Amino acid sequence: MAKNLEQIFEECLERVFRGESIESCLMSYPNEAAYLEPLLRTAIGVTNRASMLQPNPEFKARTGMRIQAALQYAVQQRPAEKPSRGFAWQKSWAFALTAVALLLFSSVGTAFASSDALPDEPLYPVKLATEQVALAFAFSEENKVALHAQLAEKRAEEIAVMAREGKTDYVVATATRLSHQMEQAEFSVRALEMKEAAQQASIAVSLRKTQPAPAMTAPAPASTTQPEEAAAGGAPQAAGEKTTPPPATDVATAAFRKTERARDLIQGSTAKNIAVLEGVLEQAPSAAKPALNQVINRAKEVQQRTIQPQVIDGKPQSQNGKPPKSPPGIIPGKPQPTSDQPGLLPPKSQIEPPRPGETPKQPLPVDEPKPPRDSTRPSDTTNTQPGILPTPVVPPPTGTSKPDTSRTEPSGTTSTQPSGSNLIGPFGTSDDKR
Amino acid sequence: MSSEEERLVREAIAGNQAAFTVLYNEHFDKVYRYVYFRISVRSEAEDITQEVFLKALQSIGSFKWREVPFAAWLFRIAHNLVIDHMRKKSKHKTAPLEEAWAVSVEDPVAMTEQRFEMADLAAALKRLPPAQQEVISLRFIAGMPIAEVARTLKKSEGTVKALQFNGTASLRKVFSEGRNG
Repeated sequence: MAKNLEQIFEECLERVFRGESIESCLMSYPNEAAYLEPLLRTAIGVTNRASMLQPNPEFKARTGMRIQAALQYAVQQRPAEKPSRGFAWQKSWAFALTAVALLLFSSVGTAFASSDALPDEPLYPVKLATEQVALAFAFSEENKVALHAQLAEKRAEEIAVMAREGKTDYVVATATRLSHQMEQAEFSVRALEMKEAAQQASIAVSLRKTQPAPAMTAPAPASTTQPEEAAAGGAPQAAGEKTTPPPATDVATAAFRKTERARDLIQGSTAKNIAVLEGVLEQAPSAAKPALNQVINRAKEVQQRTIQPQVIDGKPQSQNGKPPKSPPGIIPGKPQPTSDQPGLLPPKSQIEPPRPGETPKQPLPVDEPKPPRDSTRPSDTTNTQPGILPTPVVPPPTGTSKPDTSRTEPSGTTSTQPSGSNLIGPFGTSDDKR
Repeated sequence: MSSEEERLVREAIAGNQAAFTVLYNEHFDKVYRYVYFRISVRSEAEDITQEVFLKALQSIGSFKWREVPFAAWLFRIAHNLVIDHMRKKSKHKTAPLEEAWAVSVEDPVAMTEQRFEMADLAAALKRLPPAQQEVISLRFIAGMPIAEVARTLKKSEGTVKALQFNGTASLRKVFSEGRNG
């Protein structure tokens, strides 16, 4: 009996889910191919798009703990022993305290055990939640930039491992996380730029009030001027003569250096991520390549945008694609800062606000054929989904689900990375928060 | 149901916490996605997903593994909770989709990007007839095989295949209209 379109559609879907290409399946049904192809692409597009939706790791961890507590409660209730009425309240309090203690201690252990978890391992959501806690305690923008850069590098390595193992679904999900991480880092750089701009603007205003006339007509001996002098707007000093710059200038200089360091950090980290991702592109399954290319492009965009300050004088500052070494906005007639010196920005009112949301959105190609997540999933149920429940219920990732040595060193970048537990260490509060 | 899953379900029914945990980890993301695309409001989807697993834990003793696969049973719970929620929701005014996304605690830029993609898909799904919505959600979003979708919805496989085919064609039409208009 001839198959109808619905049956052929279902058969092709199943074959594509198992890793076959749409074209290959349609070759079996040349008469129906023209009609079925767009439908198959729509179905695969919906599957891929939906798989990008990941539950919030904190929510997953919270729910896991609640389920764990409910399981423990159910176990405690099992020996149907009816307590006497007088001790009932004491028993419930004891249980509550025990549950809290259990959850607390199991969380600590789980958080540490999860630090090396990979996206396909049960403890991975715990790792993500722990990172969120670490970020919550990175109070300064500088610390945030450093932590986001670290986390982005971790994501890139995880993507490389998943790509090598042919786990398309996890590559796509982790690529989304990497994009978030890089953009968060960029946000923090912009925040630093804003602070720097505000400080420089206030100094510029105060300097204009105190020394306007001579500075406007003085020549600009840039090569001999010290940074502090430039920032303070004073005349060049004789060699060896030491002066103490005004405290406000120090603050501005420090802010400038912080921003420069943050930009350098992002540049270095993003370059490393691009290298890792490009290095794995060839080995990645074809279905994972669009996601990999997308995240590589995203990384290049972030890299391009963080080359130079965005919060400067209302104009993009580019010198043949290289980062400008001194911020513009210097007061005319003042000694010019040298290559690594801070300059002065115009008053705050002239400063253009940052545009962190400028990332051009590339719509997900609904019609692009990509085998869906389930086609690459292993059959072992203990390893197919990341989970969040604390030990002892979930086996630690160092056992069967741990990859081999080659898996842990993508592109040779692992050695420079801090371990996951280091993320918790400096902040020391992830478990307290939990 | 695979023999491994069958073993896990048996152990979970017998009160083995580890077995239930493995089942939980295996199905959590899929259940969440399914609920989210039916509800379209993140906070509500989280509440319902949590409720699905608490309910599953509560009633795992009544699960008969010979009748339906565990996933089908779990999605049946999710489906019932979604239907109950929609009934209640139709009686009260609720937050629009945009507002629901805006309250997310995650990275705002990334959320904005994902918001459009997810909102597009959720909005497209909403334009399908309910039966097609259910099949598309279970098949493409929860990733269930056709036989399990049929068991979950208590329909024949032939009916589910037809709904899947028509639902996909409708979705394609909705996406094309979105692009052109």
